[in-house]
Amino acid sequence: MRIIVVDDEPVIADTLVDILNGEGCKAVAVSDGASALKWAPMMQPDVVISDVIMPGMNGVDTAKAIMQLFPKCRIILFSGQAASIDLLEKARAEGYQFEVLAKPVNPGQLLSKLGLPKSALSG
Amino acid sequence: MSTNRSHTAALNPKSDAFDSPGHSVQFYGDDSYLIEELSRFIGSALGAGDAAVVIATKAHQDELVQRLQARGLDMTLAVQQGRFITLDAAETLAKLLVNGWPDARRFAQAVGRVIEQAQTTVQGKQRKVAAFGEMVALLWAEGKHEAAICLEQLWNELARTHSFTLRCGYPMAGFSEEGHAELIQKVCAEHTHVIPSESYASLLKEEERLLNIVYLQQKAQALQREMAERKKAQQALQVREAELANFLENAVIGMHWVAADGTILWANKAELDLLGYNREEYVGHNISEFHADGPVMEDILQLLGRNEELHGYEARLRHKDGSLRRVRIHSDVFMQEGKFVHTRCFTIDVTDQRDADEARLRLAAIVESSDDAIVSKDLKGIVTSWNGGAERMFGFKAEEIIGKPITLIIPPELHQDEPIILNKIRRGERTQHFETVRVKKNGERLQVSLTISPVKDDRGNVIGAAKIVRNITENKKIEEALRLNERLASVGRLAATIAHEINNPLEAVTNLLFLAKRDIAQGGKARRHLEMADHELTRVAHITRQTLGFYRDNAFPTSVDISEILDDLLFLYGRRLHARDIEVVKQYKGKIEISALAGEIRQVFSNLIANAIDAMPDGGSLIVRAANSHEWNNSNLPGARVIIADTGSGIDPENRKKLFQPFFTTKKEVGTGLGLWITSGIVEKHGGSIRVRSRTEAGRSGTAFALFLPAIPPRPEEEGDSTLRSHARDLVNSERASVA
Repeated sequence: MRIIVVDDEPVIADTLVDILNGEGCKAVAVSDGASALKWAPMMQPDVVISDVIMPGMNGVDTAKAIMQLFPKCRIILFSGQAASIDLLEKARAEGYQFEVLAKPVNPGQLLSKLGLPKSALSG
Repeated sequence: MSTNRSHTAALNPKSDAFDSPGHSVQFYGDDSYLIEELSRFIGSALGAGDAAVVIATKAHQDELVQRLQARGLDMTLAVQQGRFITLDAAETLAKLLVNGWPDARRFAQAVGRVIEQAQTTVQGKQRKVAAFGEMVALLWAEGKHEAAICLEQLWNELARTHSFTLRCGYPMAGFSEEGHAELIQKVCAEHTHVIPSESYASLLKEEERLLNIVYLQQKAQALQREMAERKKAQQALQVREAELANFLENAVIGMHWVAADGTILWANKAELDLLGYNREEYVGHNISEFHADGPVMEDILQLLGRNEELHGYEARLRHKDGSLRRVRIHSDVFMQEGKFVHTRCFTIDVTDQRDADEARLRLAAIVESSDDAIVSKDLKGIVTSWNGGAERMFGFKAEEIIGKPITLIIPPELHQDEPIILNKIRRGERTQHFETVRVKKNGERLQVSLTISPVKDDRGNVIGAAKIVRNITENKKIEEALRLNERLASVGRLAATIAHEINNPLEAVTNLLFLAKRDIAQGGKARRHLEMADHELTRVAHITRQTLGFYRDNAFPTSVDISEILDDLLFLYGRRLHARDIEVVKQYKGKIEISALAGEIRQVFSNLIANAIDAMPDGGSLIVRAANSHEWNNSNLPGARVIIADTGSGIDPENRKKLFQPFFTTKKEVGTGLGLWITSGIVEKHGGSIRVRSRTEAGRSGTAFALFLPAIPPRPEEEGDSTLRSHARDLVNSERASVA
């Protein structure tokens, strides 16, 4: 499974990539929406996991752009900030419905959401 | 008495007066006396073979003839012989008048001829003619006194050329007036002899007559004085009458008289002024034209028709300008010989008084219905009035406290304030919105706002004070709650901000722990520590997400999993449940999902669970049941049924009624009294309903709240929604924060 993880906090993006790669995925971390769009054509991702509030292009806009390029790509947004509500509402009004997870996301739950066999290590 | 010589002479009768020749005048009181005297006069003439001419009324002629016949005279013969000639006085008089005045030529024709005719009959026999006339009396009776004198003079002139003895007859009734004294002299002056009326003439003895003269002189004098007195009295009476008429006319109270048929006979100035009409527009018209209410008018006339009196009868009269005047009518009927002559009405305008009464009643009603206590007291601090608001606020009935000191409602420690307040009032000063404490009859204290105004009499002297007391206990509570709310809201906002800042590092730590666990060998001590750290971290994540999670701002109904929310809350309250040794019994039937505002629904359950925990300080069972169901009264409305019950001490029936009122709390120290009010508000907003059951019997006590929430909430009004939402959000924020 090819996954792009987008988060402006490098620790979050890197650790998540580490976890996903540990489960046999091919995940890469990028720190903003523009980078995600640059990597996507090369990666041809099955899933994009993106933070919502980020400098530059926000998660929702990134998600919309990815959806247009790769309609089959699954998009999961995760956020820890109330401000993200407004962006999601706006997107919903425009007809976009995203899977949204609240931070902190339990990695085990995330893996099961992705349909990955839960690693014995994940506890 | 006049000293006129001829008059004295005329009244000085001679013994032969009855038979003396010339021109005599006969006064009489009664007709029978006239006939008696006349029959002697005419009878003796006829008896002596003389002729007689009688010009008299038909009645006098007939009576005379009867009398003469009774004396044995053959009247038929006398007439046949032409010695007794009668003429009708009225007819003869008519013949000799020209423009109501005796005409000499006509007199000569009508009377002179007859005398000549009579003389011709007895001529040569040395006989005389006796004549009687009372045409002068007819003229006199008509008040034509001058014409009568003139006629007497014509007779006198006739006597110069003809020889006859004449007697005139005047009834005394024609001389009954005061001014007639002079006229009687004039009449007498035209005669040679005067024959007084029967009262005197019938006296035969000289001494009787003299006595009678003295008597008459005395009587005349007395009468003269009496007349003068009477004249004076009459003048006084006239003055008095004029004064009374003036008094009535100018009285300040309207007065009028009405005839039995309703015609106004008289009205005074005040009455006319009251209604704005001039005299012609009112007097002579029917009273009903001026009454605004027909039935009232009829009733008045009926009452008066039965000779009843009206006292302050209320009616409405029409003013000329179209307005209606309210009046009180006092009236009775002036009756004469049992007949209705006219009413005597007093009309008192009470329009202003009634308007004032109505205004006063209106004000009184306002005062009485006011929620504020409105009371008054005198300068000694004694209660003088007490409205309904005061009764409700303080629990004292008006009759209980009026006349008692106002200090009954002032707490003992504030009694020293009363003299200060009273002094301020005496100085005419007003106290506005003074916040203080007052005490109810049952001792309960109230926070009040006082406005005290001095009450002045019409001369401006302060005679007491009016107090408006507003119970601000509730306001104070609301103020406090709002302050608390604001404080909680700001704490909440701060906490939310912090929580969001924490979420990112939490995410990182979670991931790091996950990786650390993955990369460390199983079974080791470090691995166990990591697992514990992960467990604790999960709790931290849970708490931040549940209490300050971003769902809270969700403004649109979303799909809400009831059991998930309940589980979250039970998890959140886990520590408290555990600490109080409360056992949780969960019964969820199937997957229960409704469309709702997730944050608000969470708030509802959070309140109910928190209350249940508070109700069981010594442990017990918390029963949480949820199932798909339908509305109690409407099986077509699907939704979720949730029951949250405790085995606490239960709620008193008295308190049960107040449960959903704002600021009602049994948890005096910690409660805001807003929880269940908010809860029911949210449930209502979602189109649901909430019921409570409670038992207080020891051993089987407890409280159960049963909720129904429809699967799809009613569509809120576009506009009202945002306000409601923000209001609800604020409340939810504060409550949430207080729970945290």
